[in-house]
Amino acid sequence: MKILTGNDLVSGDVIWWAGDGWSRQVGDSVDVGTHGDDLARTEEAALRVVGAYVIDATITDDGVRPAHIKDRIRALGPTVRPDLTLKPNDADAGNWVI
Amino acid sequence: MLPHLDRLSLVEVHFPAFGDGRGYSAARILRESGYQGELRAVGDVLVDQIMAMRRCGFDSFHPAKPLDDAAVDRALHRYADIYQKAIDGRQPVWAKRHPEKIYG
Amino acid sequence: MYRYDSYDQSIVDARVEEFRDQVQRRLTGALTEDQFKPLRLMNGLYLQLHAYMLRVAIPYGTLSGRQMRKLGEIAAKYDRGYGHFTTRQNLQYNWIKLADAPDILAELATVEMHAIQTSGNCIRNISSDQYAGVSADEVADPRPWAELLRQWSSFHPEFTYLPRKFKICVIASDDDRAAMKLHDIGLKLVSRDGVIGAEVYAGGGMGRTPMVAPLIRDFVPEEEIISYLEACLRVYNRYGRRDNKYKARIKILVHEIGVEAYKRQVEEEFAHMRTLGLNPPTEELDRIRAFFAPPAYETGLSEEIDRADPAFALWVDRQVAAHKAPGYAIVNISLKPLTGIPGDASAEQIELVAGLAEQYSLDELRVTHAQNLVLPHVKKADLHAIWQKLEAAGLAEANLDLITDIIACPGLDYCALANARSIPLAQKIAQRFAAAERQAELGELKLKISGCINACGHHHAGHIGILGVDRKGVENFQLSLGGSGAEDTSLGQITGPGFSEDGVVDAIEKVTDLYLAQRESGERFLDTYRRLGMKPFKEAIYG
Repeated sequence: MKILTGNDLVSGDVIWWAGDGWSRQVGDSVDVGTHGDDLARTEEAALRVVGAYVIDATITDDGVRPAHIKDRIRALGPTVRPDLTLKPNDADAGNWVI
Repeated sequence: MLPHLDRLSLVEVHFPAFGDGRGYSAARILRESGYQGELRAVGDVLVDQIMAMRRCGFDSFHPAKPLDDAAVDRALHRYADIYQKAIDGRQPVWAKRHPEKIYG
Repeated sequence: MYRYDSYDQSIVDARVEEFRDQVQRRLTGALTEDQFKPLRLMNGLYLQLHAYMLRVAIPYGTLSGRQMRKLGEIAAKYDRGYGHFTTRQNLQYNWIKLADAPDILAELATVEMHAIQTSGNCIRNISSDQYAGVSADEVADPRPWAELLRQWSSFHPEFTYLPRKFKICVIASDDDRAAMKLHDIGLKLVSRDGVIGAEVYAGGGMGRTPMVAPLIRDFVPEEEIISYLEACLRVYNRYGRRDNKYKARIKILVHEIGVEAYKRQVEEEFAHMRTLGLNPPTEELDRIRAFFAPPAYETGLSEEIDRADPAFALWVDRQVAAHKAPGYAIVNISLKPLTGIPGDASAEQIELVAGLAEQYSLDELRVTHAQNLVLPHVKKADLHAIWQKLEAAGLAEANLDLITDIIACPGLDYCALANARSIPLAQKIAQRFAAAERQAELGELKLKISGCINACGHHHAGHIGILGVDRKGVENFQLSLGGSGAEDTSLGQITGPGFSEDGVVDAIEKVTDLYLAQRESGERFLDTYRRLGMKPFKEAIYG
């Protein structure tokens, strides 16, 4: 599947296109098919996102999994600071990015 | 071109992209060589670059995308003090700090 | 220390307001991201992997307790409670909100700090020796020069859109603690017939094409340094390549046209530049120099250090360096705890060190390119009290210049450019070599990790260097040996095929074992490598 990601213009937070808006959870991502680039332009013009780009992802038992490690780290947070990730109570969360 | 500067009344320096800064050196070299005519910056010229261009000797601007006059005015007057001697005749702060020295 | 006058303050304040205006234009949509990006970068604001990142300049690595305290306050108030000290004597905040950036800059301006030109294709923060002013072997304190260059380079009208970024370093000792020859321009102050001037090196750098800067002039007198640098920069600005960003640094220009041709062009330009009145009067450097006059050291102090506590004695032997004034010492504070993140400090740690500087170090501290901190003026009698406070804050690691004193870039945990994670690897290496006796046995061993070819972790200059690469979506690490960023500057050579994270730790153990088996009396790892060459090390790793 193709999913759309970027950063929130104001806060800088990593965000994912969830169909009707943006989410901070990669698991909310929807398949944007061939519309990703158009969506990115529209949403950037509306000042809701910055640096939006389309990536490959797959659906796994754990939910949506970006194809590249860089986007998996974006989805989770810094693996060396589990307390600052989106899963601060899961000590093994970092294994998901590898 | 330098030997014929006194016969020129307009030189345009083209900025193919705002990040291409060769034109700043070109402008200074022209002025340092005595060119007195109009020196025009043309091309990808942005409001946030106007002050540096003016300091390097440009005195007219023909940007690919028109600039807002009020914004240009703000940009040109934002810095009351500057650190370097350049072409625009403004006194750098080191000259203001040592008024006993006379600068040509 | 240098203090702003009303001119300096007005320039920094004007910059805050200019940036506030630019951010406002972005937030209202008057500027697109393509237009805003070069403007924010010129003020150190990046869009990184997880958020905006702000890089704050610590000019030539010197700051006061008050400035340090402000850095901690900002970390607590606007970020997530910490900051990262970089290899260029800057501090980075990782979790900045765009709308907050102008307020942060306004707060920095209240303590005479800024983020001016900490990114972009301009002259960056001027770096220097962390022992400037306190080492016994320096010709003069290099920091007045660095401050002169800070002012000259700030908003330079001709050199703000260079082909690529431009890094300048000033040192004044034979011992190079700042990797001077790996800068675009390196200045080494020297004395000739009682006159201070600079040896000028140009065209050094790391990145994907590392080069050691050659000497281009053996003496520029101090009153002409500005016009000489203008000549160096003008030749680069006109002829440096702009068609390929990977070939745009001055090192490529110097390499392609040759050192002699570059020198000749600079000399021709200099002959012209020196007639233009570009140099500040000598009174200006004297004015700046007065701020760096040696502080009023107490006299008659004891040289005694009570070494009864073995842990304290170990720390003293490792972290404390000789100071030029009797009874004083230089304290190096390690930001490399074995399980920590190289260069990171929490808001509380920053606050604590600010307090130590105020109480024990004549209100001054330094930041090093090896991502550590320095208290430059400490009475020997106070060392034990300082150590106790550092120990309580997790800052008393005794590993300066040892294998666990690792330089590491933020890597793929934080950086959008990275190909691999640097920090987890640094932590694995530190844990493998954690035993204090083992580290001491290995002696000086500078290990440096970069998460991509841009080499922010200085891997080319590591006695052992590691470069993270992306191999089909999997993190992979190349090992290199024999680099140095010190006065014996050299570039490391790649050992061969890369490794997994665990594989590279094993490989390091093999090369250090070989060193221990083969070293001759007094040899550091680097010396043994240079004597034996790559072959036996390669055999030990891959054989």
